[in-house]
Amino acid sequence: MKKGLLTLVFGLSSLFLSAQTLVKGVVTSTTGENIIGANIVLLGTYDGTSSDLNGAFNFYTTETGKQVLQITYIGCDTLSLPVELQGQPLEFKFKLKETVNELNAVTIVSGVFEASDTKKSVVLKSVDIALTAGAVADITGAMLTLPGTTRNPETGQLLVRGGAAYETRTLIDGLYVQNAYNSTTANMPARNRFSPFLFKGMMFSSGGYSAEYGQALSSALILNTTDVVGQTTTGIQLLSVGGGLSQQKSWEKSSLSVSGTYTNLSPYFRLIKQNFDWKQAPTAGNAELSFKTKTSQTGIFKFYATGSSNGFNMNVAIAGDESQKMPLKLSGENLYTNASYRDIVFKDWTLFVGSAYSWNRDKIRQNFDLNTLQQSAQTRFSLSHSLSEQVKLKFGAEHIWSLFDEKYTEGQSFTTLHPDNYLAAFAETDLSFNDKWLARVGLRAEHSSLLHKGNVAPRLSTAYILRKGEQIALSFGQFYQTPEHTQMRRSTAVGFEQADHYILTYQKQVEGYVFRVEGYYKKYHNLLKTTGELPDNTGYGYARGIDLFWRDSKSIKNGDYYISYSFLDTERNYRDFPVQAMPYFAAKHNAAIVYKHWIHKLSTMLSTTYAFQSGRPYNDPNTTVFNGSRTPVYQDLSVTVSYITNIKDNFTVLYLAANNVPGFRQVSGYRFSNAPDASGQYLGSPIVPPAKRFIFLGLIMTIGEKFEKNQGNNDDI
Amino acid sequence: MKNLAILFLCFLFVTTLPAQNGKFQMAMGKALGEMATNKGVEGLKTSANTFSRIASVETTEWLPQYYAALCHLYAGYSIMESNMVEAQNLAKTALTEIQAAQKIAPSESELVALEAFAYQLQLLEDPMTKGAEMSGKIFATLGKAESLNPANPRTYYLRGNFTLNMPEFFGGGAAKASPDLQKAVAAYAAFTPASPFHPNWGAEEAGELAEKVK
Repeated sequence: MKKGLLTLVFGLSSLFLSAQTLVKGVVTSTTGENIIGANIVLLGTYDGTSSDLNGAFNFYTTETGKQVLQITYIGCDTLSLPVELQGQPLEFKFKLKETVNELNAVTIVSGVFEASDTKKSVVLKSVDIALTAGAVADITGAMLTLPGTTRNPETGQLLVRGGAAYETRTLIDGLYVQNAYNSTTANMPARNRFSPFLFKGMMFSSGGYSAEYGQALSSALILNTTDVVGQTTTGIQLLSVGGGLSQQKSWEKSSLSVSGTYTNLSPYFRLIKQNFDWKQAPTAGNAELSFKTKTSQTGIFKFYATGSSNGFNMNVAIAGDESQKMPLKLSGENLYTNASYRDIVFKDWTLFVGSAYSWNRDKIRQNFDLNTLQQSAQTRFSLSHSLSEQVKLKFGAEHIWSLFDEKYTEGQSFTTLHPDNYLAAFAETDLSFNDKWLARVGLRAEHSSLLHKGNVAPRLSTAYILRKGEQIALSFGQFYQTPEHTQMRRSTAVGFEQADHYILTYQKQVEGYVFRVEGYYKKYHNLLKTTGELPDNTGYGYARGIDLFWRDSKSIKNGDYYISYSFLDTERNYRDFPVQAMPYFAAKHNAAIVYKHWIHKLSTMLSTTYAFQSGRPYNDPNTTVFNGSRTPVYQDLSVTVSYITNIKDNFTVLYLAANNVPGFRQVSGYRFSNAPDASGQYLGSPIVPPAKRFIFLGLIMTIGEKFEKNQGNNDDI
Repeated sequence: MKNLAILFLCFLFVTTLPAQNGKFQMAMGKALGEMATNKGVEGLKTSANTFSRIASVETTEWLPQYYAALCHLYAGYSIMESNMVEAQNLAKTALTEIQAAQKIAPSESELVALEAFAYQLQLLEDPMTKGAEMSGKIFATLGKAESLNPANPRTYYLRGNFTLNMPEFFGGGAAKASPDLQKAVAAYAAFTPASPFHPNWGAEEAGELAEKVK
């Protein structure tokens, strides 16, 4: 009896043993390379193995019947396969597909330079913007080192691909900024109002931008503010031209920061000789408040407000006769607020709702009085949703109420009052035909109550991955913009100005290197002409060119550089131009080299920028050709040295910035006298910067628990 | 016949019930043995795979995920110089594993300390941009690990090591790292793992570093 039982038991166990199944095979990538270390597992069991150096694997299993075999490998899509285990050896050939992520996904790069700290596929980091020499932490200054831009040192504004300054619009969190620059006049360069440290990412579009945005013929600079900050800190700024204080407080889900800065250039002007005759050197005060809160796991609400005031008073030399002076006084006040909310709603729709209000008043006192008050209030929403892996949809609408109120007095008074209700709607879809080919089709419709006109603008972009890290992209788009109010003083019975963009891009990006070449053609229609009795839309023009960009952050240890070059060919007939001509704000050749080097031993960052620009046109009334003369070549070499240290455990940056170190003569154009002299000649004066060089010394100290260690009870992080 | 039935039932009982637990013990023992002998990035990945397979069956045990993550992190740190993209993928995978383990053992100090170890690898991708934000996160996470179990020596070792490698202007350096490293040495001396499978690494390295900064 016992013997029989034992036989049975052994018989059973040997039966199990003989039921072992051999599972073997090989794992490769879709491109045929062996995958080493893929995990092969029979789901729900301990059975499985890893692929070896040849991508091969084999293991025995005692499991029987229907099972699932799963193959996983980091960076590849997981593969699951139902198998039937019956004792006979099974052999497989698995091909694993690379997971689509932001590094290898196809994204449309044409016309866009993106700077971000969170995304990996970008060409620049936010810190690059702040550290660019020559920019003195001015966003515009940093953007001017990118291809497609032209420097106009006399205004400090961002000019893109043959477009005038007003053709570039700045947006913060998807909402327009009415006055992106501080108030200025009389060839005093302006600065962007916003500090680069406010933003976690920026998109600089030099053309062909999305249907989401409008009202910019040439370019959109899209800035995205940082999210909730995790530290409570106090910041102190001591600058050679002023100072600032900031306080940042963080809670579990929210953060609040307030700051104020004051600058006054008069002590500096007393030390360094100026080309301008100042009665009161430029002063500026600014206050800022920012509140952010996470409303849910995915939702965030942001509020930002800034108010500022600036002004100066000087004697301006009369063109042609430097000995004669005329007083000029400017004061400007500005308020900007921006509130936005973003979250995922209805499971997988991304909702954005935002609202912004701008108020700006400028007063200019010369031999005339000019008071300008500009206001705008915007509301906007957008919804985006992935219909499938292949199709993404985004749509939205916005309304902007604005008021342009100007009073000009020179003996008589003239007032201009332009109220406008602007309404726009857009829809855009991203179509992925496969892993390599993406198209974005968009449509935007706008209406302006001031112009009594509407427009419909199509936008189309497509990108194709040639090889890993290499893509070509093609973009086409129509862009409309309401003409500048200062050009519509006599009549608003005009239409939108229009530009059509055609862009072809090739980009190669491998770890540490970026190369990009972009060719474009831009056709202007319906530009405003003011040579007639009333303004009309008979102006036209074109811009075409090639932009090159090369960045290498790998070859030089602790060093990083980029080179940009733009060739620009543009002419237009607009405003008061008598004929089609190259505009005064354009330059044929534009180049910049930006180099940054980190000296570890000295804890010092050295940053230098060299910029070159061929001569810009100006109109010499002594010649017969309109805009036929050219300024001398423009060159600039700027250096910034930042020394990082800690003072009593507080993180501190000490920096020295110097613009135009070699002292190149920088002439932006010439001003000519209104009437010829006795010999029939118009006398000209060159437009030069306020001083040959600008030297700036600053200290920024952060006091707080940023690098404190004992945060033991902070459980919510 | 009745005897036979009882015997058969007994047979089933003895072979299946303890086998469940025994199988886990055996698998973990074998995997840890392999981990000690497996060399290089590929070896570490193979070990991680083995732990992942155990984890996929043992859904109430946090240790397999812990070791899978630890192997991925070791692999990440050793491949970092030559292939940062891969190192970051490994860090990301490790964090997913740690999170999965934390669902099983939400207040396990060892897992929280390992989480900080993963953040350190993420910081190294771009210390210039990530330094300020990530170092705050790392110290906060290690603080949490310390409060969950002040006797966990790895918390002090990881913090000491991180502080040592941090630039002095950020508040790092040998002098700042020393107290944590001395604390680590003392904690290692007093530490006994809950089982042979529980984390028990770092004592030697902590000792060496503590000597270095003295």
